[in-house]
Amino acid sequence: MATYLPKTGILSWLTTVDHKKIGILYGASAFFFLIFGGIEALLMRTQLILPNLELISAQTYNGLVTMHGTTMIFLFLMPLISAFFNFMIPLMIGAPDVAYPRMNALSFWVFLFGGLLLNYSFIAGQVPQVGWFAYANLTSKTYTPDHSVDFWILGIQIVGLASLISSINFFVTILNMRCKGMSLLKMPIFIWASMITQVLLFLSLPVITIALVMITADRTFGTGFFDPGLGGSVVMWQHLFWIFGHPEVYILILPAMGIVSEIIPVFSRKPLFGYPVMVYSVTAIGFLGFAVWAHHMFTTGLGPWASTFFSLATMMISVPTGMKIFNWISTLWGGQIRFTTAHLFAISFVAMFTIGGLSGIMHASPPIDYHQHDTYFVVAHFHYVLYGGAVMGLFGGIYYWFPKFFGRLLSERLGRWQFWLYMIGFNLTFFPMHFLGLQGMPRRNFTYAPDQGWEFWNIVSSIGAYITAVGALLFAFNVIYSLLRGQKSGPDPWDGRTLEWSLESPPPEYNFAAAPHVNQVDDWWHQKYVDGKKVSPPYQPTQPDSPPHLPNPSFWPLVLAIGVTLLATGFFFSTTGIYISGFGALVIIIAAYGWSYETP
Amino acid sequence: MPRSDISSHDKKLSPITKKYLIICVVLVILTLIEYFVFKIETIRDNPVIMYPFLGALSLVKLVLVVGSYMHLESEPRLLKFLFFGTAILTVVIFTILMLSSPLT
Amino acid sequence: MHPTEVVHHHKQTNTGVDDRKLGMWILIISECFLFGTLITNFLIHKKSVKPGTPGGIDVFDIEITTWSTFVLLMSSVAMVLALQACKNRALRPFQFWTFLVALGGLIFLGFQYYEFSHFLHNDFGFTTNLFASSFFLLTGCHGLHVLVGTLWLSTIGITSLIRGDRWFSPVSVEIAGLYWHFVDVVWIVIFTVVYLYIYL
Repeated sequence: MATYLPKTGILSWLTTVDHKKIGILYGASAFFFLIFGGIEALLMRTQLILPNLELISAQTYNGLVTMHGTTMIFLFLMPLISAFFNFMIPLMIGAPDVAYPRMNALSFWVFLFGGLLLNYSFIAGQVPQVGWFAYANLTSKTYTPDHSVDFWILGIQIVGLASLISSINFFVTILNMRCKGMSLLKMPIFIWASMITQVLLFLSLPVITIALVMITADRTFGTGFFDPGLGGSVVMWQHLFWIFGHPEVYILILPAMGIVSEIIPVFSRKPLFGYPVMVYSVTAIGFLGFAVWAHHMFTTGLGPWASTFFSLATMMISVPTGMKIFNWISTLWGGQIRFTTAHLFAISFVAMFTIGGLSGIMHASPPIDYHQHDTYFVVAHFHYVLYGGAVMGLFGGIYYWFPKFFGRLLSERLGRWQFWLYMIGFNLTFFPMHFLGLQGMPRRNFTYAPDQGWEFWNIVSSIGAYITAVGALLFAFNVIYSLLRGQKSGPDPWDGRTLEWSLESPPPEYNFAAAPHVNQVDDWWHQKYVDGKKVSPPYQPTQPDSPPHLPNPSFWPLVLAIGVTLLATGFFFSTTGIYISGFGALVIIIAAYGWSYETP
Repeated sequence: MPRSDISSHDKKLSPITKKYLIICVVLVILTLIEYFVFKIETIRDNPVIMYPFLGALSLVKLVLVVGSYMHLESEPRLLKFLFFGTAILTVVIFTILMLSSPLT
Repeated sequence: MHPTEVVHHHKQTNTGVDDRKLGMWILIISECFLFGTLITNFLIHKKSVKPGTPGGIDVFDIEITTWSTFVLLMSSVAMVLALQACKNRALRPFQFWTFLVALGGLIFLGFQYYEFSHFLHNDFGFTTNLFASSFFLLTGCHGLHVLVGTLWLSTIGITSLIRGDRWFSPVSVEIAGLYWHFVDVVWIVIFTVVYLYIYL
């Protein structure tokens, strides 16, 4: 029985503190915002299909570029990753929920309101046109006098807050709530990747928080942090942004690496090759990820010492990354491989991410980067790692864990179609961009001249985008169809290796009826296959030994999130703003007290 | 139920309280030293003395408060590693920033 | 039964550290990067005093600042004693020390207010020059943390007055204490880096 589907309707979803329901909320929101990000992409690719088109004005195009990047990163990838963190972390470590259930709900509502605020810029007709990284001093009051940039600034500030709160939550959950016997080196690799991701989040987010406060101060009060005329520096924005921004991209890729590390062993019927190396490499990538940020700034005139340092540090990251790639391949090698849709996506991750990594290594070299920076070569690189990498990996996760979330399997037939449409569409769109970039086509330009020789690949690229769109529609259909009529999955449809497969699909509200006890990595597998022989799988009992203590639902997280949004909204109004923000602050304080004094 | 080692009619302080009060006195003395050193005009613009000496004093104050008042000294190793690891990482990252930044 | 006593029945954790305490430590660790950014930005703009405008050397008053530092240090001492009293279930001492912490916070904020008014009077404000902007951003952010902490400790004190003997929650007090001590530690760094090093 789907014990967490709404029993009392909308209110139960608005007040839920159950990590599984919150995971679904995050996932649904991610796909909602994906529609925006996808349409923005299709509009851009249509505008670029032929030279000198004016289907879309330059200003509108700049708005699309900004919103597409911002939406895909902050409103699609991050919440989708959060959906997996939410749903899977407690299940894979044998815990009943996360460490702070109400904070978990708060993170979701704050994120949702931040995403809605950012997209409200469309309704207000003031879409930010500054790129997803909003370089100074385009963001100054002089060059952007309207509120468009404020939507971006406050939107990011708010969703950043949501991620910060949830990162602390998951970090404590992983450190403190593992079941008996699960030492750190017996955790699934997805949990290791998730844990490192949380560290990256709570260390890098404060930096962007301050940078955003500074640009707000520049715009609202006239300070000169990023204004050269007042003694500030535009490059400082870039430093601060990328000290956050680089760890951010590792935040986007590590969870997908974790997911792939779960999928490949299951569908190769082999344990993951080199577990300790996978742990060290994920830690090394996380740690080194803090020391490479200025490789986004090679063309700003850092000087030879800084350029050399950041170049070397960037190249060093390829070592642990390469080790992971070899280990995934070695896991496949000699395995009994099943090409389920989940596995297809996971394998494609390895291939596509490798291609993206190779282009990345190229522009880790400053002299080469001088040629590639701000061209489509960079666009190719990051789409290969974020789309070919993260997105494909996450789709793998969706096909793999959908039965656990919903009790039904996604259609393999439709899945295969989606996979191939995505692979073909994605590669058609982005592989040619390597050529276009090396041939000098600049990025973030709304059109291009006809005599550059870029027409052919732009047409190919745009066709690829339309193919992908078809794949996306197929996926949407697959989800709806499978939710209604998909084949029932049972607890362990894939013959999995980790704890979540010992539970009903979907799991009961309290997760584990009997507290699990593990002895080794992939313990569930070893409970099913004792001395090489398959035994009757010891699924979790359907009734708990003692009544579980479930945290009560609460509306304070929703109220507090509203307060945060009101606080941010005040910045849009010059005279009445202080009252709106003040009221928001009051709501926050009231919600904080209400929260502290209720029975959790 | 008040414990016997801090009973209000027992004039003796518990060893823990004594330790906290000693540290309190040390913190005050260190702050006074910092103040008086600052007041000496010939030292206060001399980086060779000021940076290491006052830096060391504030580091001692920091370690005392973090170690003793925040009880980090008696917490599991993991927490000590997380805190001091981050403190070191903070210094490293921000030193790199200062060295790479356009204004320094 | 009071909510905070129901929540975490001393449940077993892998690290041996209570969930909420570990969470506060992680928040503290995260805030190291927050203040790290602010302090670094200040250091970068130490010499950004536009000619004709006042800099720190012109307006800082080391006596006031040292008194602020002293007050915050003393409030930290009061905090550990408050936690001690809470663990020993000594109600009156607990309440006394808790309110003393809050009072210390309030006095510190009072000193900040006095100091900042003096600065504004001398045309040293948020937008005067980049040294000033960076200074106010750093100390303002710290002051906000002190304000939140003062509110928090006051709430604990008032809750204790209302509920009396039924309310002893050493974990809650310890978490507030960790936050408060961290705010003090940040000030220790600010006192040295901003004020004591002003002539360098």
